[in-house]
Formats: sequence, C-alpha cells, structure tokens
Amino acid sequence: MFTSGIATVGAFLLIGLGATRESKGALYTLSGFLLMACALYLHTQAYTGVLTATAAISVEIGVGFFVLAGLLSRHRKQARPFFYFGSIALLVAVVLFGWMQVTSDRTLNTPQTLLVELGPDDSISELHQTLTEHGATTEKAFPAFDLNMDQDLAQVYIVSVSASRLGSLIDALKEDVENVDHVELNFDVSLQDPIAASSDRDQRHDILENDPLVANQWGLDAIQGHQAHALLKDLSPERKARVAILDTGVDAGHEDVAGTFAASPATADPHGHGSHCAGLAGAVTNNGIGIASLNWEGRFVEISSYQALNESGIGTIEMISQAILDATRDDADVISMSLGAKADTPKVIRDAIGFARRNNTIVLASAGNANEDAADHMPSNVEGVIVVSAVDEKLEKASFSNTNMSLSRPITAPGVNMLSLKTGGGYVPMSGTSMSTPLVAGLVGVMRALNPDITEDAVYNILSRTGKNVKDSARIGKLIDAEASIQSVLSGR
Amino acid sequence: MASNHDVTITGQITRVDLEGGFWGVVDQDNKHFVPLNPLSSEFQQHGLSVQIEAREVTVIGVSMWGQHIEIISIQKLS
Repeated sequence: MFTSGIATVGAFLLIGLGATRESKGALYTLSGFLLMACALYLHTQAYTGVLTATAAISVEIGVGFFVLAGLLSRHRKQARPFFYFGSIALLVAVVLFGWMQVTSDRTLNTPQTLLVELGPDDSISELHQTLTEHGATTEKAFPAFDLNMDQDLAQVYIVSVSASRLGSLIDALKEDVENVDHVELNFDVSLQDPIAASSDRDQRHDILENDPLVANQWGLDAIQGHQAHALLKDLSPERKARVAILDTGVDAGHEDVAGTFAASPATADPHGHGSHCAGLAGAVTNNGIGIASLNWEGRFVEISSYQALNESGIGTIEMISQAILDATRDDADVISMSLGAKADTPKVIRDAIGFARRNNTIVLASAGNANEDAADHMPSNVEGVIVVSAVDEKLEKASFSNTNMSLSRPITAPGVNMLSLKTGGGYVPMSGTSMSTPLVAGLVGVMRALNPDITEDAVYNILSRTGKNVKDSARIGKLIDAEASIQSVLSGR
Repeated sequence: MASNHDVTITGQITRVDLEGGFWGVVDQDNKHFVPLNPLSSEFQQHGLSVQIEAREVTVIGVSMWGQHIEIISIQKLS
C-alpha cells in the first residue's frame, strides 16, 4: 500500500510537471500516466478488499491533486480544478474509511457464544463479576437437565458476549478453575437445504413409544427397535421371560423398571452400573416415563438382579459364580453379565455357566473394552456364551470394543452413548460393551417370552441369521435386528 | 481376588470415559492398568506422568479395560 501510494503521488507530480512545462511536457505527462497505471496495478496485487483499496486510492489521488494544485498555484485558473478534484477525492476517502469503521464495529459487537461448564457444586452467580465486566449474558444450555440427570450437562451455560471481548472473557473464565470446568466456543451451525433421506430412514415408520427420552436413544434406531415395537404392541407373550442382571445390583425402585422388577436379591445399586444395564434390558416401554427398551409395556420381560459385583464394581470368582447359580435356580431365562477381566476363566465360573446352560438359561457376556480379542477375556470366552461387542453411532466397531470372532457365538449391538437408568432416579448416558450386552439380553428375553421353548442354539442362530452385516462384522459379528429376530421367532411358533 | 506379582509402572494417568468413567494408567508400552484403590485428588489429573509401585490383581469388574492393580506407592514425575 505504501509503495503504491508513493507511485500515485509521483504520477501526479509527473503529470503536474507535464502541465507546467512547455518543453517535454508530453513526456512528463505520459510518464505520469504510466506510473499511475503501475500504482493501480500494485493496488490490485495488494488486494485488501474493494472498500479499502478504493479508499486508499482516493487518498492518493486527493493528495496528488493537491500537489498538482500547489505546483500550479501561480496559475489559479489551472490550479482550481485540481484543488476541487483533490478535495472530492479526499472527501470520498473519508466517507469510505468512516463506513468501514462503522461496519467493523458492528462485526466486533456481534454477539459470540461460549459453552461454559461449571463444576457440579458451582453456581453461575459465582461468575457474576467476570460476566458483568465483559457485558456477557447467560442462559442454561440444557434447561431440561438437572444435576440428577447429568452433572455435566446440567451445569453447561451458553454465555453471549461481543466478539471484541470474547478473547479476554475466555481467558478470565479459564483462569477461574475453582468454578469453571470447561470453556469452549459454541460453533455456528449453518442450515443447509435438506438432502433426501437414505433408504433406511425412508422406511422408518412413525415412532409409537410415548417414552419422553426415546429420541435420545440412537441404539433403538440401529437395531430396528421401533419396528419391533410395532410388532409387539399387538402381540401377547406366552409368558414373561426373566432376564437376570448379574452386576452391582439394580435400583429396583427406579420409576422406569419398578413395574417389571421381579423379586430377587440385589434391589439396591450404590454403584449405578447394574441399574443402567437393567434399563437397557427391560425398562418399561410406552409408559410415558423415561426411556424405551424392547420390553413393550413391560409385558414381555421381567428384570431380576443378583449381586455379582460390589459397590466399587469389582467381583470375586465366588461372587460371580454364586450369582450365576442363584439366577439359574430362580428360573432365569437369560443371564446378562456386563463384566469381565483379561484372564483365563476359572473352572468354577465355567462350571457355573455350564450349570446355567444345562438348565435352559441363555448366558450372555460382554466382549470387553480393551480393543483386544475377547478370547483372552473371561467369562466371554466360555463355550456357549453369546459374546457381545459394541458398535458406535456410525455402526462401526466402537474404538474400545474387543473383537469376538474367534469365539463361537459372536454378535454386536450399539454400545456408545447409550441412555439408560441412573441409580437413585434420572437417566444418564454410558458407553461400553456393558451397554451393548443387556440390549441383546433384552431381545433374547422377548424371544423367549414369545416362544418359551426356544433353545439357546435356536436363539443364537436367529440373532446371527437375521443380523445385519456392518462395516466391521468380520471382527465383531452381525448387528442384531430386533424386528427380524422377532419375526423369525413368530414364524416358528 | 487373586494376587499376581509386583510391578513398577511408568506412565500417565488417564480418564477413561467408559462404563460410567474411571481413572486408569497407560504405561509406555500402551498397557492399560485400572487401580483398585482410589486415586487421591492430587493424582486425578488426565495426562499426569507418574511412577507407580503396584501389585497386579486379578479381579472381575465393570471396566474390562486393563489389568487391575493395587497401588502400593505413587509419585508424580516432572
């Protein structure tokens, strides 16, 4: 910009010299116009925007005309037009720079938003001084969430602040480590024209369930859960099937499972893991409360609970074996074990699982979360156990999920960000093969409810035959299809 | 609960967002460890480099993420 400015002024000087000299006047004038052309070229190369370039050229032209007017000051008539042109050019420059300043201020004053997560014990009022100093306003990001539902989401606030003060506010909030857990920019999302839905979505029927959180349960979409509900709503089970959750216990009084909880030993869950699994296996569906499972109106599956793990989520060989045995003695149709360890399976657990299978109890276990082969993971590596890996929302192997294809009964189900029961009340998302396992257990329970005589071999064959091949099925087995599995059971009744 | 052997682990504390969330340790060979005894708050920092004297323990749990350990001593590494 500086070089082009010098060139422009120099061009006017040459033009002025050409106008005042009789000899070689044309040469000076021609040189001046050439230099002017060079200056304009430099402006285009140093492009900083049309307004900026125009304003700069106006300044240069204005100064050039004033220089000319000065050179011609002895000839007032000749100098006067250059003075006027210079004044007009400078006036144009002033107007353009003024306009740019105004629009710039408008941009800087455009509100930007931050997502600020407070600690679970903190209040937005504790940030009052910082927010006031920056002229920021706040609102809760997820007003439907309270601390009981999710300690993180309940504490997220949208903070609006002018762009000019955004940086200093971020710094101030990040320094406030006592109250602020996390700060990030809330990205703008541009709406685009809708794209025609893919075939899967085209085939979706209306969602039947009145459970208010069902829209947050992507896993039901992935396993054709809504289509399964459409079948189940008009069916009656031969009898309720019993799905035993062997875990940290189950909060038997939780609003979304109490109506289908069967008398069993572990009715409290200080840890929370077992209650989450129980909801995925059999939360009462279409009851206007919380989440949905495959247990339509609670008519197909009842949940029982056995203490395989302590309040820290840890169990001994004895605890787990005892839980398997107790559940089997209580006529469980299905045992769901979202637990394990990287070790050879102790004989006593293999024996307990053998006992369960001989007594017509179908046993499922998680593949594990170490991104390894479940063959090294117990008790999923026990013969006859249906071993459940996990897929994510893209229906790809969840990054953590163990593979299961080296075992005899591999299958997979959604296991990332699965919403289910929170012990003590409320709902919370969790991830892990612990979540995919009870989802399959719930489906197996429904199959048993429709056909109590169905064997474990038949159940697994249906799951596998009707399951969908997904990207990583060669490593984690087929993704269950609840609708197709139920239809297959119905056709064989 | 079955005890195996004592180990020295040099690695980083990591927050694992699985099964409701827990603290783990990843060593330099990317081996995963799950402490059975709770980490004190000063060690509950994702990415913190530590050296741990621990005893490997075989238990069955919900994490299914790595080797369980009982920490004997732990110190921060600069």
